[in-house]
Amino acid sequence: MASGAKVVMSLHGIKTRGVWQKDLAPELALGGYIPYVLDYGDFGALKLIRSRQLDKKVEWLVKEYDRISADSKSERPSLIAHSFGTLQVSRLLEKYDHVVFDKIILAASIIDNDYPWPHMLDAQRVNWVVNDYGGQDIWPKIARWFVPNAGKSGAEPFSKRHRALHQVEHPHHGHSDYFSLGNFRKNWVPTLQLDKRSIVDKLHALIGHLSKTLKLSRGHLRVFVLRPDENIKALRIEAGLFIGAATPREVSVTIPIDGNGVGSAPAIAYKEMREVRQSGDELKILVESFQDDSPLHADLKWSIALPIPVDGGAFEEACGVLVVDGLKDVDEGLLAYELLVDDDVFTVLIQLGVILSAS
Amino acid sequence: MMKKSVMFVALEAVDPVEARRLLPGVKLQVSRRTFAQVAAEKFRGLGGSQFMETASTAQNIGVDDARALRGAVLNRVIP
Repeated sequence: MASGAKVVMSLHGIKTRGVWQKDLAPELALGGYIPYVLDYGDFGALKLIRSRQLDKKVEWLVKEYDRISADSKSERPSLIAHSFGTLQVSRLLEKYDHVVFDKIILAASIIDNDYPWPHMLDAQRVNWVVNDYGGQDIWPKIARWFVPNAGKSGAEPFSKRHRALHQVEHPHHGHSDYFSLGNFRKNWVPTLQLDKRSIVDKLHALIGHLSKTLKLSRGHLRVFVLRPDENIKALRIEAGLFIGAATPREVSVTIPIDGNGVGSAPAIAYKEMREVRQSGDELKILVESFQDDSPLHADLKWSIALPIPVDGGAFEEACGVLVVDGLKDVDEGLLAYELLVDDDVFTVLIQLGVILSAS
Repeated sequence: MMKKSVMFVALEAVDPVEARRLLPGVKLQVSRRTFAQVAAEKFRGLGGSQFMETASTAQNIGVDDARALRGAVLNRVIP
């Protein structure tokens, strides 16, 4: 088997043997991954009450991890876990410091809400974590009363935030509503394929650079990475790829590539390969176009859309758009500057193009 | 360091068809140069203070030049 193979492990919950993994495996294979479907049998709910049972499962899991890593020569497998499987993964990381992952996707997690994900992410034990939690999921709330060290992070988000911890609320999801082919194809597999950690790290550095250059605090700046969604012919913010204050509704806005109107600035940047900027007056028109229900941040003062070039071409085609927003006016007059010419901004755009084009 | 620039124009100045397609009254300011033109100038090592202010001076960069520039950027040798 080739060195550095791309591996995704999946781990099911209790009172099931994870039939969903059988649907997921071919999707992972189509995405270029080697799926390892883990199965620890039909584990009864009453066993969860005894912490020794969890320890036994974690001991089993570390042996599976070591076996798969050795067989596949994968230095950093990714993992998708559901329910009790999430608790096993959290204990695995705490107990065995040789265990590292690329991405971890949690669905209906019962991990404690105060779990130290920022520590795990800063220590590179894992590069990217997704927490899919559901508004209709009662089991995490129940589990935390009966299962030692459990929490309700499958119903409410983790309390400790990190730019590489992406938490997604699904208001209508119950405990096992994450296993549709559509979710695998639209969300899980693309998340596995894209190096989001590198992107958010670069966005974080870019915010620092812009903060100094524009003499604004970091809190007054935000950046978003938009990519085309071929299914709806629109640009949308790539899940988790933004930094700064934004509401869930704001990050879910889509921009038709061939749409018109004052909200088309990112689409123009995408098509024309030019920097596009909107001042306060133009944004005011945009806000008013939503009448009394604008999704845009109330303090938005200016916005700049920059094309992200496709890697490998002659910079004439975009694979995405970087939007830089200001929540405070710039004293010296923003329109006097061209971000595209800035070497650091230019470098980040090319780096983003390399990463996005690789997925 | 960002350079002062007068390189922004109304969209209709560079793409009147696209500008007309947008709703009347939509005035988007766009950079006069495309990404490829900015890249070409960087590749040729002109430096920010020497940027010409006419689009005609900046021709599109070739694929080989683009690859060389990409390599330079990723190796952080752009001044």
